[in-house]
Amino acid sequence: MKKLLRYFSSMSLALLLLGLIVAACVLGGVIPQGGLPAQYESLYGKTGADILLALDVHQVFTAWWFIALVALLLINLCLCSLLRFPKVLAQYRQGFSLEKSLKRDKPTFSFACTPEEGEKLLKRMGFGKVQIVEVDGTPWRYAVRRRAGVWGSWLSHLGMLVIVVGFALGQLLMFEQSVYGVPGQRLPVPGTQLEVGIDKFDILLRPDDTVEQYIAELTVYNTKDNTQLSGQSMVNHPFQAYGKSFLQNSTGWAASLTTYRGEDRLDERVLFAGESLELKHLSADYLDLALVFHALYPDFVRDMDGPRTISPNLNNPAALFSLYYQGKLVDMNVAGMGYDIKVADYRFVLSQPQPYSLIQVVSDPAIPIVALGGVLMLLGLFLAFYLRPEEAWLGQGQARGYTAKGAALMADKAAIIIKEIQA
Amino acid sequence: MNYMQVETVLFTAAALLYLAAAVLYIVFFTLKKEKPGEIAGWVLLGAFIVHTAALAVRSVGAGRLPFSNQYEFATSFAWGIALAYLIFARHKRYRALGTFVAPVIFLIIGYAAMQSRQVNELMPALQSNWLSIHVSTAIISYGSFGVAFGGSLLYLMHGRLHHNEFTERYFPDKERLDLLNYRIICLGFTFLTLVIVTGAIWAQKAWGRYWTWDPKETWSLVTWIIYAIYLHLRISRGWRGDKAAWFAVIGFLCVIFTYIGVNTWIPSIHSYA
Ligand code: HEM
Repeated sequence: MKKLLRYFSSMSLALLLLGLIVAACVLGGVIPQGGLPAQYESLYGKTGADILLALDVHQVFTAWWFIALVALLLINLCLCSLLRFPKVLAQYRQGFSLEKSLKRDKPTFSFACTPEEGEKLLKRMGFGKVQIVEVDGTPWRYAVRRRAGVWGSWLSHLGMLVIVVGFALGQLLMFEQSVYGVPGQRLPVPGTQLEVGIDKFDILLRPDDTVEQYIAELTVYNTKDNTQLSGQSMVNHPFQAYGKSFLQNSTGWAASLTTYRGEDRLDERVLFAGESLELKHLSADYLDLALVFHALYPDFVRDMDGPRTISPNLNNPAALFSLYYQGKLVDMNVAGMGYDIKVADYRFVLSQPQPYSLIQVVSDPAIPIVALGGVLMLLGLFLAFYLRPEEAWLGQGQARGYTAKGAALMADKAAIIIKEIQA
Repeated sequence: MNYMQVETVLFTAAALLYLAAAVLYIVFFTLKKEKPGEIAGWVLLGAFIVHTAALAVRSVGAGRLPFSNQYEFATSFAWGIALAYLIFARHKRYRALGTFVAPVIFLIIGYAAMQSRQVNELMPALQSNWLSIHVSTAIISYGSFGVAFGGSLLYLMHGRLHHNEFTERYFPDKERLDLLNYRIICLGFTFLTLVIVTGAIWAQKAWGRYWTWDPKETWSLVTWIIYAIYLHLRISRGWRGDKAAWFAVIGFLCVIFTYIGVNTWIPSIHSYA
């Protein structure tokens, strides 16, 4: 049992796990993730794709074996941090003492000097508080600096642990949905009692027609208590309401579609590019016709490059559509706004093109945990790397110093300073 | 002359000066001549100043820091290595390091020269202060790893050199060189951690998710873990010296891959779109 515990808290296991995790990340970083079987077959051949799919290499980061590796690392980190805590505490409290230092046969530096020179040396090396300590009746001067550095690597591991726990919690508790619509619409957010009203949606263009910003004015309605909050959501500036972030995520085109039979208006709706209308869904009496609205060209031209748009401005909007009768393609063409797309005695008219806004609704209650982990980690690294504990002691015509890490640096610094002092 | 032309002149001058410095350092190293090494140091400093001016002119011209496309990041990356070199290897004792670092700087700025130098307007997701912090920290981190790479190559050659008074003077002893590499990697690692943290904050604001395992994120994590393994091996197995140096070399190859390879060589599901 004790042996097992020791193994699970050991650095050898840590190195093994980190090595395996790196290997897994390399796989996940080289092989495209989350694709369809056919895509892998065309990339790696049938056998390659079969092996890859069987081992979950197409979704490394959610594969059971990857999660198991991270869980083992977590156990390893927990045990190693727990077991090391008393040691680090003891090191912090009692690790630095003159008795120990006097026994060092290999101090980092050692110079013969007068007490005054020694005092100056210590001061210039950054040792602020010099104590007088008596050992066997002899008074010595002794100083420690940057003692807090002993906590560095321990804290950085704690930070790592907190980050992994926060990330895992986030995976369990995270909420993510998206809704899209045009100004005037009010869209329920699935799985919540919230509705997103899109009050206004602007795309700011620069003079060269590149996009500067997408700005959605939103009102979020809480249908549970009939309250509402309004605000703006732009890329990089999400709107926060009711514990969720509302992000302006992307955009596309929508247009109004009106359907007639003879002079009767059958239906009127907003259709988003990519969507279609099937008449039989409106009524079984209607012909089995479907109109697919593929894309909208805001500034349409047809030239040698085929149909395309020459700017993102609504100068000459036209829609690429296709018509199906009983599942068979009967027409595919580009129609201007207000133009009648006729089949038998039916007419489809697209009008009022406008950009729609895709709003992503997310929340992850574990983010503060991850953020705390990040801070601990960075603080720990700073302590570990930049607060190397140093000791120095003076007595019997000698100035000596010791540090476990970066000895050559301390030795060089001391040598330069003592030379200047003694010159 | 407009900003772009001024920048082109400065950029080209900087690239040529880095090349000159690299050649001088190689002459210094192979012929064991003092003078070329000394001049190389000044030429490299000159190159760095001209390079800084080129970046400043571009920043003023574009109205933002030059951190967005392949060209901008490559030129800033080379600048970061030069900066880290000038800071860490300012002592004459580390002069031989220049022989390994200056060519790396030249190769990276050469890569930048092959990219389009056009100033692009930033798409909305890239207009963020977090992005500027993210890339600044990446430049320092990757720059440090670049110098540690050069230092490790020197370390690996050290044992195979014939030593005399000249090498005594201009080559750091192995212990100091090993410690220097370790310290540079500590700085690079701290900054790489900052790169990942600031990148996560930015992703949270722009995409609502701080970590999505996209190839770029995954590769930065790979690099980070490789350097973490390096730090542990030093402590637990006493992997100093040659083994540590090999690790630093592998780590830097990973940095290069994260930076250039991920964009160019990784097949993406999105290419089907
Ligand atoms: C991704 C995960 C990890 C990271 C980023 C990490 C990071 C670090 C860092 C930065 C140091 C200080 C190195 C130095 O001062 O040169 C360190 C030391 C150390 N790590 Fe880790 N570590 C990780 C995982 C682990 C695990 C799982 C263990 C469990 C055994 C472990 C055990 C140790 C030990 C015992 C030390 C030496 C501490 C000392 O001497 O002060 N580490 N680690």
